[in-house]
Amino acid sequence: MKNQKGQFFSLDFIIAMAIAVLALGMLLHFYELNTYEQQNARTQNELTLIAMNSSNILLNTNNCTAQTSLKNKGYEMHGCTDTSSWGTLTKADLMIPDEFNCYITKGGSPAINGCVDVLLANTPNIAVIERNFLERNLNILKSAYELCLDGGSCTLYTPAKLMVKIWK
Amino acid sequence: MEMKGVIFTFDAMLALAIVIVLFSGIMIFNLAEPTTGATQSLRYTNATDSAINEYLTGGITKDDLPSDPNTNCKEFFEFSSDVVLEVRKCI
Repeated sequence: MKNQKGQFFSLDFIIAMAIAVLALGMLLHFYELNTYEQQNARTQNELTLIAMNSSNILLNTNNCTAQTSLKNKGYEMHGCTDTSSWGTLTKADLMIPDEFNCYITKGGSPAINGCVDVLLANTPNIAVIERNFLERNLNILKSAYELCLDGGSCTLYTPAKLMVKIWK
Repeated sequence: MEMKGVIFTFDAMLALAIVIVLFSGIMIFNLAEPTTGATQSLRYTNATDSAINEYLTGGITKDDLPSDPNTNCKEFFEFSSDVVLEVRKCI
């Protein structure tokens, strides 16, 4: 034993340090993954909120028009949308910032002239939301409106689907 | 007691272990779950759209609404135990 020279660390210590380094490495890797996931979720949330906001603007600011007989009764046309003025809307009208791209369709066809951007295949984060709504571009008569409410044969509205895609 | 080949004392190694454990603990406590508020909001909006559409087309009438709000209702959505969001359709 007298000739065992140059041993700086014990074997136990070296093994312990190797395990500690491995554990630390795994911890850092886990932390990095979590940070990436958080960042991704933040971006996705931002896109989803912009998409929801623009869909709300589209559906809630152009309500159907009621004829005088119906308007005088105090009815508000919530849930029914007049889409006749959609075509000329711009990104700014829908409160979509310039640096974001958008593609908005109604029933599968582009509905807004200001939102016909082309989606590239490798785009990392995209928010896609779909809203079902009732469409009516002509005045609504009181008799037809109440017939629908009463569960009669309702042909007043056209069920439509709005799809909003937002990406950066 | 003579200990050859040992450069760190037991105390030093213990201190090192404590530092690593503390570092790991702080890191784990700082981890947070990604928020899902926007998704929940979207589901709520979609459920509201369905309810309004059904109301306007006669799917829900005054006679369908029971006096007891818990009668004949179906829950559409329920989220985590901390935040519960329910949209009910009553028939």
